[in-house]
Amino acid sequence: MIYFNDLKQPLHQTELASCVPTCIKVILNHQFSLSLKEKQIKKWLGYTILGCVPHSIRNLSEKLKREGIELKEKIVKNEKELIDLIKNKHLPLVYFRANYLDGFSEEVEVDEDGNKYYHSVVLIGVDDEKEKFYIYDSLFSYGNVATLKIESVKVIMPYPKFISELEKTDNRVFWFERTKKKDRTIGEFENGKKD
Amino acid sequence: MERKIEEKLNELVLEKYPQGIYVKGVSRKSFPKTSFNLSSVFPRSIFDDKEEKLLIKFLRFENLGSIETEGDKIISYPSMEEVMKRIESGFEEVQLKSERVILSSIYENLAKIAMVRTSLNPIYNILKAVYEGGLKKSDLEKYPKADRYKKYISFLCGLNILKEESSKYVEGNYFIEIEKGLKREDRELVLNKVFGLVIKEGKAYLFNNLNITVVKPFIRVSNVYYSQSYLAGKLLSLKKENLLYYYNKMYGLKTPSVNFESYLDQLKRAGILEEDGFVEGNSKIFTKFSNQMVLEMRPKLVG
Repeated sequence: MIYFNDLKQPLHQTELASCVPTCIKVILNHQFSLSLKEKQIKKWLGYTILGCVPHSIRNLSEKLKREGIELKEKIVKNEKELIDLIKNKHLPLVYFRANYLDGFSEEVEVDEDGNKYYHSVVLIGVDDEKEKFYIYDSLFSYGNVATLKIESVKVIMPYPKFISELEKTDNRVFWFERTKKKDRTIGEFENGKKD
Repeated sequence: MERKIEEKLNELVLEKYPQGIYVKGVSRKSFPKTSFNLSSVFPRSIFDDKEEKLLIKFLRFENLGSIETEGDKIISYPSMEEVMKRIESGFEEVQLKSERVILSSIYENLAKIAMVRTSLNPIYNILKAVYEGGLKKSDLEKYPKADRYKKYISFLCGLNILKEESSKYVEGNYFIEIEKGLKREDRELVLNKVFGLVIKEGKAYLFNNLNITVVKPFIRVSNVYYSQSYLAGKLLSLKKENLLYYYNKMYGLKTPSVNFESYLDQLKRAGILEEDGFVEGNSKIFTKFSNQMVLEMRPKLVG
């Protein structure tokens, strides 16, 4: 059976170091209809002078709590836990090595140093009969479509390959969940009510 | 590397530094301490518009700092700010080197650009007078804006392109060398080569002291195109708007497309770039540039 989240507004990342904020922007918009500016997400993540991406997105945790959103994190070593997350309509964010695309796409070619650089992608679906995951990778342009449908997915990965790529980045998986309490809206925050 | 310390180092890198930073290996062992070197890869995206393919290449920066360990304990490590500053200065170094390399690859062509020629016309006139038998000091006083001409002459003497004699200025060593390699009938060619050499050797002085910056955008646009091509390992086919995007991004500019079009037009006329639906390069310049870059950038840049 196929479980797939038609992904709302699948953005194309504006620059190479923007995969993490782009993925987060897309996830928050899709799951919680929360529209944040990329600049704001970058600021919260703690981008450095050269726009480098931090390894962890934990910095977001406190900021999103105000919106009643909780950042969850887990070490995942098999596909079952990932499938459960997708079945529960979550959008797991994972890191791969940037050269994971080699051999996967005619559109992108990554040089060998890509094995030293992390790249974030979002897991949006699974076919548990064919044992394949559907992945949203913001490196690709999906045009100006409102929704990314299953037929337009550019990266489809068999379970073993997925787990093997995940192992290269310490099996860490992040996702977001709605909590009951909502402290203060992002709108309020951006309108000048500082911490 | 022992398993336990390797894990600790990896954890530290993940926690303290942004992406692309990694532990290269042991840099020094001095019992009981061991130093590990930090290095980094930084991504560059290059899109070939003709092939419709995205190429992701990495610039490599090494010796960004050391993590000191004792046994299986980490005792010191550089701050993220220190590491990022070193990467930033590595970037500047790469940019300066590639500008120097592109200049030495295209300087003869640059001399053909009308805008460059016009703004450096006094220099061209001096070279011409010297080539035609020498420039008398007494004649120099008759020039309008004689003081400015004197400044240029002193600059050219400093570059060994002119030589001062008691009553006149004559060809200096560099001028003579170029002339030797060419026949007398190649008058225009000799002057062009010497003129190009003036731009190549005197770039910094022209920009900083004589305030002649007209040549700057031509060097920069060429640098953007050829350094991207070098990273890609081939001559790229780029849409004009994408080359403009790379240009503005690399130099932090907001050049409007109308100005950019005029730079491009002049670069095409000078044989530095070509256009056939896409902006493309000159294979001779590319080979010259690439060969020199390999020597200049090793081991900082690996494409």
